[in-house]
Amino acid sequence: MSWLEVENVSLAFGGLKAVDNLSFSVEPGKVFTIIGPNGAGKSTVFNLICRIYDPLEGDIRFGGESLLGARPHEVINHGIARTFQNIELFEHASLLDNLLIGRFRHGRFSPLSELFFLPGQLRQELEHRRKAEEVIEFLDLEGYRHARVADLPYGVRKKTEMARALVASPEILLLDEPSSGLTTEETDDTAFVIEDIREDLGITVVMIEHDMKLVNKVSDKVLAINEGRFLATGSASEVQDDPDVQAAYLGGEAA
Amino acid sequence: MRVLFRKSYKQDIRLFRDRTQAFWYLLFLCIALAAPLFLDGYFLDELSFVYIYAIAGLGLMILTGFSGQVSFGQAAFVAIGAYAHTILLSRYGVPWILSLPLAALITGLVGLAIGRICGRMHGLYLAIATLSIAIVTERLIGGGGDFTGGHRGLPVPGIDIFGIAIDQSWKTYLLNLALFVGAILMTRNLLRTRSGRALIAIRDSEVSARSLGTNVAFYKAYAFFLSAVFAGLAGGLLAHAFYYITPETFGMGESIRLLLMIVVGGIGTIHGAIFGAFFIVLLPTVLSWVKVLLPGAIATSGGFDSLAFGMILLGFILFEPDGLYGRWVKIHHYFNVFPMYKRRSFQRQKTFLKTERLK
Ligand SMILES: Nc1ncnc2c1ncn2[C@@H]1O[C@H](COP(=O)(O)OP(=O)(O)OP(=O)(O)O)[C@@H](O)[C@H]1O
Ligand SMILES: [Mg+2]
Repeated sequence: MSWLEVENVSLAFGGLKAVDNLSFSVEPGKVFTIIGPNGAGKSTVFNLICRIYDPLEGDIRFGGESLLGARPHEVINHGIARTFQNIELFEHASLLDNLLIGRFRHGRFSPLSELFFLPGQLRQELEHRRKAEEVIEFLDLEGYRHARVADLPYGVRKKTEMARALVASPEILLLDEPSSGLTTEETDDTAFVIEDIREDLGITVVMIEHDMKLVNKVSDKVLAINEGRFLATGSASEVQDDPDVQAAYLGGEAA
Repeated sequence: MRVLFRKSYKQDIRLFRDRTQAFWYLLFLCIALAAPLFLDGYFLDELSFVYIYAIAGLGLMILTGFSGQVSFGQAAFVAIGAYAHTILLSRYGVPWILSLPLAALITGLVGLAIGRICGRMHGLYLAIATLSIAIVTERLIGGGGDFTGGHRGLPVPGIDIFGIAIDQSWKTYLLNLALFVGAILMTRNLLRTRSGRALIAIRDSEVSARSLGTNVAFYKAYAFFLSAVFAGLAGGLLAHAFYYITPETFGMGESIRLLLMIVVGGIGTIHGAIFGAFFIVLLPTVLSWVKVLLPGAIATSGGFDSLAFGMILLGFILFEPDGLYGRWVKIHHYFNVFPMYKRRSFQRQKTFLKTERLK
């Protein structure tokens, strides 16, 4: 079990302070939601955790260990998997291949064994495939296994991205707007999926979300930010009743 | 229509999907093996060229088709392989059986070094960088003095494997065929394991490949390495097929031809490299047949071959971007579902809005 701690982190793009002295921590086994108006810096927080950007100051720790020493491709080895706001799938590969790429961290670079398909490879491939099938079943993706991702409908693509993160067997899952672009039914479905991820798989979820119905339904704790700064934190209803949060949503500068 | 039922995960992992597929590929292999019985030396040599070009094409397919790094420099690696092999053979007396893999490895290491440098580049910059590599390599070999034979070139010794001279068309044919099949199997194995999937991941989305643990720079360099190894192998074989090599043999034009080859064949597929090799090697022969039927003035004018080649390429880019292999899949489907074929079955459905990409 691990804690994710973001401590006094700041980041600027040119003159724009995208994240400004922000701190929060996520408890294990919970669903933690970040809300805030457009451009508040939510996705940037994910990109900071995933080491796409270097914070100007502050520290990000997971399980007591600082992530700042990790390179972007090493973040997954700490057990942190993510999805992207604008779906970043491997478009020209099948859904199954997308999931198998998700298993990447559970293997080693062994060129000769791969090129000659030595006996160990088949065993490994079967193991990856079993894990992929588990997740396919978990997310009801059975019908799409061999379809090219580029040809799938939007809702399925969103699910595929979540599935790809799950096959990596992470300890913590970062979801960037899991319901954006989905129909009402698909959003309801997403709520159940997130609850199952927490309950059945025991994976901690950090989610960025705009749909307040979904936020209310699944969040254990909510953090509101605006212009990169901390606004409020607490239960979903506490945060929504906070006057600063209401002001931020109503008209930014009015606060 | 035939629907494929899968009963075991292994079906997706094995070389062949099912018995029918295995049957067809093995049949092709048998025909290829038996070809010396019914083809004369000229056609066997032509097929040898197809196999060699296909090996270089598979290498380029790994780099450009799978890892998504466009390269105008593949012929440079073919040249390095050809020269390394020839120099090892004639100057250092290295036995053929060691010299060829050694030449491929040397080429691979050069590819690796170049891959480390080019790994950060994309699109146009990468194209220009690889193009310069092709030009520089040609110059370096040309200016290499006695070591490379300069512009006079180098004679290539014959093939000798454990005292057996491979000196007839049917023997070189079988040798080239064996290495060609080996190259296909390796590419196939790459694609059905972890590293191959990493390359495809990098091609389609570097950010998410990284978020799943792929060291992008490392795997890009690995793609360059593998691609160069294949090119080096093809270069060694090509040297023997030409008997005599000069820097001009592997000029920039050759690099472009190799790139066009995989585009015409069908980018991003193993079949594409093979179909493309058949196309590139056999086209001049077919054109020479066509020329007989044309009025003299057109047939004897110098640019006819280039013009025909350019027109065909343009046709592919305009009407069949999936290449010869894509066309083949469609024809195959046409007969499978006859008379129910609909052009629409291959039109991509777009049921969603195209999302903006991070970057
Ligand atoms: N790579 C970048 N370069 C420059 N500015 C950036 C970059 N990424 C984000 N920004 C800016 O930083 C601010 C925060 O962006 P971010 O994407 O984190 O917002 P968000 O809270 O995720 O918004 P949304 O709800 O629209 O997704 C925005 O003003 C954005 O324009
Ligand atoms: Mg965002």
